[in-house]
Amino acid sequence: MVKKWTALVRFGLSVLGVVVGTALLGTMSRPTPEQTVGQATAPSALTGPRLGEAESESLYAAVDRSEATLSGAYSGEWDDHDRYHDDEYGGDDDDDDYDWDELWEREDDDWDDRWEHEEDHEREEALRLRPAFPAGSLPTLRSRGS
Amino acid sequence: MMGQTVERSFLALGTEVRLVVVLPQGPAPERVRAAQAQASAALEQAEGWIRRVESTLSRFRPDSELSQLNASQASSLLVSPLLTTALSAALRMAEWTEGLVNPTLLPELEAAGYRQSLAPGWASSHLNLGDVSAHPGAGSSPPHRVVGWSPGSAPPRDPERRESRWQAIRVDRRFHLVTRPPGVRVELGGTAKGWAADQVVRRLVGQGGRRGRGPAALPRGEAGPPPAVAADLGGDLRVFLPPGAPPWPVTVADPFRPETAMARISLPEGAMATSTTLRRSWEHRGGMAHHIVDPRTGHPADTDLVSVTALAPSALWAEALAKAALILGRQEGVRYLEERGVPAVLVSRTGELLTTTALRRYRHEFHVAPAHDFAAC
Repeated sequence: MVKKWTALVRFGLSVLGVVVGTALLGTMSRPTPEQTVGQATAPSALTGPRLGEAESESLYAAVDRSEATLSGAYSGEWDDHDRYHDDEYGGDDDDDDYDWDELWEREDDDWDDRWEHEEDHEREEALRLRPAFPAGSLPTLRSRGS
Repeated sequence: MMGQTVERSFLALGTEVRLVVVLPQGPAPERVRAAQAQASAALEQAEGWIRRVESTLSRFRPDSELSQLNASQASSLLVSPLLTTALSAALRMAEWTEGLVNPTLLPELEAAGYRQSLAPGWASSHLNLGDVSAHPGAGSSPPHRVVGWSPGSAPPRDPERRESRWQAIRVDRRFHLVTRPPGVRVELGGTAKGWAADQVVRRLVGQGGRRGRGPAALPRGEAGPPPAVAADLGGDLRVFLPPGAPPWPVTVADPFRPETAMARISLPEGAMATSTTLRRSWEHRGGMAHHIVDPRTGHPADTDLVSVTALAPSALWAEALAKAALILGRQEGVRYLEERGVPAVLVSRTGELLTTTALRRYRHEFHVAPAHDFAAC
């Protein structure tokens, strides 16, 4: 009687082991999301066997999760980037929000100032280099004796 | 290309006077016009000052302060600041030249016949240039007769004897008091032109003079350099050149042919003066005399040089050095200038052109070949 129960338990455990083992094997063989991203772009995916519909759905879901993770990871940087542009141009990082006329005027003013400064400098330099008494500017004197 | 030049020429101190102001280039035209007007006004004042010098220092004007000093029997007299300064300068030159150039040779000058002014125009009409040796290298120079005492006719020189009346004169520059033995008369023709040239230039560039006692200083640009200034008083030249200006070109006249240049010297600063026995000369007792008196003989110098051109920091000094070398003659004169490092050009009676070693420091060129270049020795 005892042996009968023992054999029954062993059979049950075996069945359970097979079921659990199978399940575990299936789980281990499924790619992780990160691995999926990498593999999906691998050349082997183009030349290898075609995936089933379910596998494809699962793969896309993993890719979506990965992108969501990436977006979350960079969201702070983009915020900083936007803030930088906001500070720089006084508006959102959207071209429609810029006052381009004002910006161009400001740029033009800057260039005008720069050119005027350059011209002044060139003029001063030319005056500095031009002798106040060029050769031949002094009339000849004559020492004739007394 | 000639710069913005303002000039004024006139006759004074018995010679031709030329004052030159060259304004720096660069300012706007309206500022140039204003500067020219100011320079003209300053030169007009300078002419007035030179005429005042003449009226004060001329021995040919009986009403001049110098004539009154010479006529006075008082041993001490209060004189004007102008006469005080001019007499002090003459005595300083007498000291520096050890009496070779001194202001108390008036009796000797008068004894040689120099009793009236030899203003421009007078001398040339009275000079009787006869046969004189040609100037080597100058081509067909006109014949020329040596002016001065013919060899052997001049009184013997006594090296120990030098007229020393000048040493008895005392000038108190603070109180403008002149003290001298009665009868000692003064003549400032040997130094007055050089001294006046120095004073005019210094005052025009604002380096000297007191308010109301000389020409006004020239205007100075706010940012630009000051103008270049030159004063030419009968060949005694004084120049002022601001930093960066080129040397002033000066031609030295051929003493035998005064209208012809024999040399060209670039004067970077200071002064140049030429002393010659051929310019102020006159007939006297059957011979020719000139105005350079040798204090060792009391007569017009019997020298084998006819012209000495000297460069010096001041026209006063240049004039005295040139006269001293001329009096000493070729051998001693050259040594005298060499010992003092004076740049100079000398012309002998026979027309030889000589230069001193120090002239090498100045850019120069000769239109006739020097007979002897001491710099090459």
